[in-house]
Amino acid sequence: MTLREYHRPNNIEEASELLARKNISSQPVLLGTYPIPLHERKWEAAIDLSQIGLAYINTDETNLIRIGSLTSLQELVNAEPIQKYANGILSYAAQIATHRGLRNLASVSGTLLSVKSSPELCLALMILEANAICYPDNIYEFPIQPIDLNPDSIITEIRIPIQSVNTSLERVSRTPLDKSIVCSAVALIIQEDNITDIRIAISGISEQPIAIQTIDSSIVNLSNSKMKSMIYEAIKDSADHKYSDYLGSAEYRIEIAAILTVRAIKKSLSKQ
Amino acid sequence: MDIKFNLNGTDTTLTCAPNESLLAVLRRNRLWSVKHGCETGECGACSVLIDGKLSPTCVLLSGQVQGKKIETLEGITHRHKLNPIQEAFVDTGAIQCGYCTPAMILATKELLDTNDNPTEHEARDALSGVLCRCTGYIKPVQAVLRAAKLIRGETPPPIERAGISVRDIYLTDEPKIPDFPDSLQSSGNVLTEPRVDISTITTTETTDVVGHPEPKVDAVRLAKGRPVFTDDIELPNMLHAALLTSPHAHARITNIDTSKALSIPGVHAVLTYADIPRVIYASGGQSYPNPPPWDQVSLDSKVRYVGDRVAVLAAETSDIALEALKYIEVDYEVLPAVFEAEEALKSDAPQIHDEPDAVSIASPERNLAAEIKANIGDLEQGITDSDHVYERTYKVHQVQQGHIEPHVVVTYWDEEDRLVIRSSTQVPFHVRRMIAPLLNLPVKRIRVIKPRLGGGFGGKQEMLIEDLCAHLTLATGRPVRFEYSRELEFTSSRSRHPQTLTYRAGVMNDGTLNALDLHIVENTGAYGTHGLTVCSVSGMRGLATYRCPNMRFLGEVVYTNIPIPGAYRGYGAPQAEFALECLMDEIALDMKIDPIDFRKHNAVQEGDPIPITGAIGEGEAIDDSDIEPQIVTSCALTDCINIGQEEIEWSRKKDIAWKIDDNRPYIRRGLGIAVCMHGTAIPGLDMGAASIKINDDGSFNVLVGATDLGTGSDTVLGQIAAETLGVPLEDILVYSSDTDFTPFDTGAYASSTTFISGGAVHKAAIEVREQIFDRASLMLDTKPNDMKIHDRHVYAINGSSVSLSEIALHSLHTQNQQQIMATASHMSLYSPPPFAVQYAEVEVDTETGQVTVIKLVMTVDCGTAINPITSEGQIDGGMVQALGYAISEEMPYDANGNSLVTRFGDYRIYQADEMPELVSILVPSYEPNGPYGAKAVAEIPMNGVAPAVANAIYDAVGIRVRELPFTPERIWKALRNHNKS
Repeated sequence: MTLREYHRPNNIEEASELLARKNISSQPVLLGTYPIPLHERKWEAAIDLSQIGLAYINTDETNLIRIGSLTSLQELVNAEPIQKYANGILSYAAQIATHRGLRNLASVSGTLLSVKSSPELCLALMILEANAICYPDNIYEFPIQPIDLNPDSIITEIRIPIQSVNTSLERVSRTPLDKSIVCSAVALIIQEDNITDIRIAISGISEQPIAIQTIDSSIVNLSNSKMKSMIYEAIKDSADHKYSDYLGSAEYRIEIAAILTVRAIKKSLSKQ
Repeated sequence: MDIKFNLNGTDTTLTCAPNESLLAVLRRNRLWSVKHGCETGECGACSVLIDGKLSPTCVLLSGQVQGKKIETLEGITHRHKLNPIQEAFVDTGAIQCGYCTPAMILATKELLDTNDNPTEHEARDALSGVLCRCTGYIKPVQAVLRAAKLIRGETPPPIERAGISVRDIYLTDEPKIPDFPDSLQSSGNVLTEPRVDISTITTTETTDVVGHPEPKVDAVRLAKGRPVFTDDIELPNMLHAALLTSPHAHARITNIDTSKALSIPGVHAVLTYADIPRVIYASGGQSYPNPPPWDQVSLDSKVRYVGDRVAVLAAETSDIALEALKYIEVDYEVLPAVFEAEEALKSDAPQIHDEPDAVSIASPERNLAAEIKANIGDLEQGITDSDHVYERTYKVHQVQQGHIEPHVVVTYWDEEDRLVIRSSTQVPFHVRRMIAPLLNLPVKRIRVIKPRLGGGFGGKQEMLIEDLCAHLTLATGRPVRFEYSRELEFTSSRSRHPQTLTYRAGVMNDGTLNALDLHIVENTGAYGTHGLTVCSVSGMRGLATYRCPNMRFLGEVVYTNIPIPGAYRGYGAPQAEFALECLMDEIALDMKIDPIDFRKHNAVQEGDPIPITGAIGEGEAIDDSDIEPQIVTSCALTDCINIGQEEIEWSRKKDIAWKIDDNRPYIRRGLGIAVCMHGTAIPGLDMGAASIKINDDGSFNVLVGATDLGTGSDTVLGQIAAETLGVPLEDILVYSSDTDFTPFDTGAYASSTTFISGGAVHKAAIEVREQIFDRASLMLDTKPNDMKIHDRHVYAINGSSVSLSEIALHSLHTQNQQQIMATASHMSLYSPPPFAVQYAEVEVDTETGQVTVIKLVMTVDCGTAINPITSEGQIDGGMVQALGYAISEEMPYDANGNSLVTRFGDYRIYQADEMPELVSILVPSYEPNGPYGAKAVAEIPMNGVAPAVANAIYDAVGIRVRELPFTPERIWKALRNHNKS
């Protein structure tokens, strides 16, 4: 299947129509942190969304951060409001996702829609309760798989509700900035100096990042060993026990996910 | 479709196919500085600035740059001068092979355009988008910071840090003219600043060129992105090759139909085993006769690994060629496969080489490609007599050279119907000799040209694809270009041999080694190529470093169905020294002897023989009892140990407070050491030659067959010539290597170039100098005795002088006309070992198993460092490759032999922004057999990191991990087992 058409639509409607065509395999031009070689891509028409105006970071609203879906990872790294919000977890996640050159090219939606891209950005958005806004009319929670989207759907924006939150992200990898084998992100929701909720998202224990939803905020008061035990059980229940590769067995991944999650909770607590 | 954009300041419209990458479009339009390194944006060699942002172009469709501003290195390069960034890259020695340099310079520009006073952290982040396999990033980071100073209008400190002091013996045939005492000052204050220790030899004399950190002779052209690499050429009517590889690990081809592929418009030839003569050969680029086994043919009816050659074709474009591969129909009879060497040796294992015409396979039925045995003394008696006996087994894995420039070759008929092979090869002369029978052409009808190499590290010491490309030119009559993709580099190139190494050691109560037995089972994959010689070197290096009266070596080189290992920097030494240096630590600690004291007690010293070198030759055991073992003729090992010990702060090993991190209670810290010893060239085998001639202006052409693969060897050879001929390096024009125009050289491998090729240059220069003296004597009417050559002049003892340009003009035009020139060859029966000590500081996460290397210190005795900057660069870069070997790099396969790693991102080469602190220290000695006292430096940095890290891990957490790499789960499992026990 050779690419034979290249379209540069001027608006989202036109882009969606091009993607919806049934007589030709069309895909948006999106780059994540794990690009597929161009000659291996299965498409006949490339839909370039760069003219639509989807690269922006909008923090004008008091309760919402809006990030255009084609915003580059490097823009997330550089943007001061992003650096300041939630202990800068989004900037950090973007920074460690890949090297400078690919950060300049990789977009938020390209990273989120590519299964093999670095998971940290997705984890950060999961614990921040972000949503993806799609054209024409859907709202998605993270993680999103390409298969979740209709052929004519285009992620236009990421919306992050602003709240009082402490976050931390812990990972294990071969080298300091290698793609993580396991990564755990934690957010502690703070209201009037009290921790009212905890959100945990973990990658590396299944094909897609997983939210651990069976843990409540009272866990922060437990001893380390009890905390780890409870988290381990929760992760064990959620993980894909067949998910393994040359970087780590399923057993290792589950064990380490618990350890990293405890660390992330402790670090989040220390930021309070 | 038409794409409009601003290219280097000019509004441009280019017609592109929708599926064309920006990389392809830019190179098609002769922007040669934009390099192909991968197809996934992970190496960054293809990066340009798009609207000021560094962007890899291999992953961008050309249509994506509509309306954008694109800058390539060509756009910021002035024809006659360097910009500050280029100047800084040249001055700091940040350029080795230069293949990634254009992208690095653009990455620097991206940073400095918005921040002219960056921190080192910011510099490293900026460079993170460009993988460099040569430099270890130290000097590029220095270049960024230096460029920032230049841009701010500041004057950075001078680069020159050290001249090498000269003792009298250096100058037995040299003039003695005082020089540059002021230059012995260190400069710069960058965290990553390497240090050059000044020789302790007391003398007021220094050399003029040798020992000085001269900029590389090719640095300027590389900094400007000039079209100097193999693929930077465009020939009329050139076709593009593509290779069909095997999807099976072991199979016979029962039918192959190329008719559909041939019918595709634009396809001009499809070749299979049925189309070309079956000629047995060995692909390793080695001297005549190639070491056995000879077990390959260009295209075979049997495939022996996933990625093996099936068919090759040539088409008008790369896209057509790749598409046409899909239309070659192949039927396979799939055979059982085996991937582990120990399994392959079993009687029920499938036989991988059952072809009747293979030559000198040790035992095809047992899958035994070769076997090496050697004995010193009486091993068993030695073991019996020892007070302590240790037996340990270590496993080392397969890794890739990872040169950023892929294998690439262009073949064509020249105007005299001679076949020209323009190849990125380390061994042009071997390629010419080896390829001739495969093509049924006489050697004299073949010319091999080696342009600049974008890295090799042994991977290009192989006739890997030249034969296929040449066959396509023979079949079509047209120029053909064949370049590997990054995926093919992983599946169908060469790599480092996995080995299982078992040592038995006998030690006396006082810590004296009394017996060493080494048994290596080596996995050579589907073909033998370098298998025998690598295993021989493993045996030699595993039994050379320490004095021991009783030694035995058994090496078994075993066929399996994995992709073929071959030559890789270190060539068997990293494997053996991992095992040896772990073993030395294990013995010392068990006997409660300080590991450094234990090593000092047993290590060879100056004057010691190295008995194993008399027992193992190049590729086989030596039966001739007349062969004398090598003698250590120079050794600064003790200095290396002591200097490094201080730099790494070895005393911290006993500081419990340092070992534990209060803020991260799961972290433990440790220090490790490994002693390294290597060889310098292959004694009695390697030969290099050089021709030197004078030009009218007193400059010199130096023609060498030596192959600079980015190491700076052309510069080093130029410095040797310049020193001997009394001229600055800028007066030396080095040309390498072209089988038509330069004299023979075995090639760039075995750490031989400075020593062997440098020896040839030195000899030729001395001869030229004698001719110059004769001419000067004629001109000055004096005797040639006691003349001195210096500063482009010849000085007679009576004080009169004549310039070299006057001498050149006189000899070429005036009287008794003659071309002053000489050719000399050099070989050596000595292989003087360089020594080094590697120290490592690590942090081990006791809960996750992640090992983080914090600091690496390497002290290296390479004799005289002819060029301290290039020598440091070798050490820096080698350490980082070795770090990857220890920590992250590996080539795993699934149960069917499919490679699980086919791209840089999954393989994981360290980036600039995640490096440990690196310290490279040159510890001079004087090697009497080397030119100006030099011995090798290129390979020894590969040898020590893995064992030093292993020993540091033990120091940190008390676990001994005997298998590489030290991935988190491997360490975690070892910790868990340790805790259970």
